[in-house]
Amino acid sequence: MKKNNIELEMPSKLENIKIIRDFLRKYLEIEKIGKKSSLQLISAVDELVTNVVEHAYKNKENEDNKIKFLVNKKENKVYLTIEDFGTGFIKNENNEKDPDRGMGLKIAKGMVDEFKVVNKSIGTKIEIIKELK
Amino acid sequence: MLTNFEMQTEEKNEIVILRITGELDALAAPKVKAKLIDMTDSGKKKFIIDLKNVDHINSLAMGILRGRLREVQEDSGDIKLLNLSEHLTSIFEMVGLDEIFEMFKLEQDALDSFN
Repeated sequence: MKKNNIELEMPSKLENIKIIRDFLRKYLEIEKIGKKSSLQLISAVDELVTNVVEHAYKNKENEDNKIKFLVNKKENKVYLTIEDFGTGFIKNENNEKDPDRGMGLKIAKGMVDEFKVVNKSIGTKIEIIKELK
Repeated sequence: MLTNFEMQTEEKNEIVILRITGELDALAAPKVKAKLIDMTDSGKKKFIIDLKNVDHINSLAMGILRGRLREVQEDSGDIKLLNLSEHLTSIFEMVGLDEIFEMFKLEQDALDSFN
């Protein structure tokens, strides 16, 4: 594995979101990423992982409900992937039935430079890129 | 699991100052909601939420604050926000919540705004 290419896999639980945040914070610190970009990336990831726990897996705690998280810094960009194997959750930002959910996606998109949704046969993969300035 | 989340309350002239320390995530947000509901149930309706020691907030917590703001405003109360970092301010602005919450940098200004 290359130095900067790190992958985590864990069961879908609200408690595990902090582990992902803390892990990402440490990774970004080691990579000497600035505070502003770090906070933005942590916010984006927190929103997306929370969305997975609450919507893709509907808060069901099951060891088979996995979240895969990948982070990789190359040159002046940080690449992050959040992948689930649940019901799929991305619709749009203007979710009238659940405005807070739309708010989370809007925050996640607003914190990064590129945001790509891959709808898989089972689950969803979100790929985000943050340019470091 | 251990978290670094804490809440402390202080009251000045019938205004409750809720000082939050830590990360306002999906686990902590319901605790803030319960605390605010508990206090409104006991007759409090003017709140200042001090976010000086909060460097992370997610949309669940923001949605809860928005919901409680509506509730207390219906009863002539209010919730004002104090000491938001640059990052938190940018998040509130991103989703338009800066237009419904009054935000302050000085506690005295927040207290005076209730007069």
